[in-house]
Amino acid sequence: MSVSYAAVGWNRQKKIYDWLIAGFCVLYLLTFVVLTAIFNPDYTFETVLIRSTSTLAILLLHIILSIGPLARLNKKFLPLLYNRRHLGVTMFCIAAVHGIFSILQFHTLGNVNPFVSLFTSNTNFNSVASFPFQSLGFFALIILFLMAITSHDFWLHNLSPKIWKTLHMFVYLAYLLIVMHVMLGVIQYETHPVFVILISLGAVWLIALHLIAGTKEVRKDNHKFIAAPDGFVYVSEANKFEEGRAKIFCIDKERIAVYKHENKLYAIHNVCKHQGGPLGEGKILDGCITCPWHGYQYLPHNGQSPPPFTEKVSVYEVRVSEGKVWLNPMPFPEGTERPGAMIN
Amino acid sequence: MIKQLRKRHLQIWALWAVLIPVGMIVALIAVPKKVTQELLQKVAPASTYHTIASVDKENYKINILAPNSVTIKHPTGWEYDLKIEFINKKESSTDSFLLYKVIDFTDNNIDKQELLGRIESKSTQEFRLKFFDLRVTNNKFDYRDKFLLYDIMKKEIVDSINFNQ
Repeated sequence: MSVSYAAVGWNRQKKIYDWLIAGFCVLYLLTFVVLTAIFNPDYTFETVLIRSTSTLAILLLHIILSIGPLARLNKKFLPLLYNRRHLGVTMFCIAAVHGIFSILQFHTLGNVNPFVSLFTSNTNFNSVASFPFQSLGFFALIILFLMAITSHDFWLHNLSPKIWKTLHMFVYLAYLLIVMHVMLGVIQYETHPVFVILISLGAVWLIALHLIAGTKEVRKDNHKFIAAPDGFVYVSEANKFEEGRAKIFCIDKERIAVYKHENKLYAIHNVCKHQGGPLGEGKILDGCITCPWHGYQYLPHNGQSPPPFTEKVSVYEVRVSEGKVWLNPMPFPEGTERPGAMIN
Repeated sequence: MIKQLRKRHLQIWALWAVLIPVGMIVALIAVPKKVTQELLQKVAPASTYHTIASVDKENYKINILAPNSVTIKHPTGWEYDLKIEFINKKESSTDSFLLYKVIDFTDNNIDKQELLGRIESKSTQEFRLKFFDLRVTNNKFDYRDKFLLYDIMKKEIVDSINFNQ
């Protein structure tokens, strides 16, 4: 969270995280090269580089796509969510090495522009076995490139969170293209079943994870709340709240986060102004509600970011009566001061 | 996150849960059947292939065949294999010959080369070339791989085939 843009907002945790990513990537590539040298010594350096970077990029993509649903299913994964962008940019760089060397190796030996060759050397679009799978990988790489260059907050603010988020959801299309790039490419001539097994396991894992996390939320969102004549709805027992944490309630299609802080309950709109992150899945740090995605902070009693920041979210009225928590789903204007409801 | 966004995530993955398995199954069904015996392959229909390099000797002729999609403009790609075609001109002239592709140019030891298969006494045979060195030089195909004919009875290399001459 900042009032100005910096190239990368590194802190100690991010540095450790980035070193871990770099170390893992180097270790993976070295292991791949050594194993290839032992078991397939005939392979050229270019082939080893193309294969090692492709498998590493796909592995990283699976990790990236797992972080979101894992964090929704278990809060222990939230720290990974904070740093997902760094992993995404790393993954793009590795995928780019794969793409560039593939084009160099397979499309620069003739007298045609390599990019023209990429799209015209194989036009068997009506064949599955001979489908021009390289073009699928190319389009996936373009999506990853656009995501990587817009991963900074500068673009988030200038494109608006809605457009930015829509653009970054194209990663799912990139994943689909990559799966088919593999299935119509290496799988068509690689005799060893390990590639099919790995890509299938990856797909099953990601699909299951996203569907489980998604349906869990739908069930919560579909819970019906009945409003009392004064507009308040009963949402929960007061003793169900954990200090510094929130419960999320979806009332009239709007998600509201109710936080417990210093034995009082505060209700704010669940959507962070930064990227639309789920404020109710974060926690209170230094007296502020902290978004689990990128650490944007809001004061519980008025929904305002602490000075000098200017972000504001709506707040709601909470009432505790006889151990029961009641919530009025009509929002106050963003930044309105509201005292918390004391838990008896 | 706003509810609509989460809903869109779920809708996309529900769609992917159908599309990805279907795509994978279709791709797996389309995988070309592997030839179990690679040393003695039947001659494939030639109509989809054309000759890009050739060496004509007294007793035999050797052609390098590429799919028709391989042209001067698009000499390479990893979607296909090339084939080497061995045409025997005289019966029993090559009874005990093995065809090797040279992969170690620094060593004449035949064991260091890649065995493509046995040459039959009278026939036309084809061997698949998964890895090859094909380029375009001066608007002509420039096929650079080298091959050896090895007589297994005499234990000696009887001929060296080089297309780049």
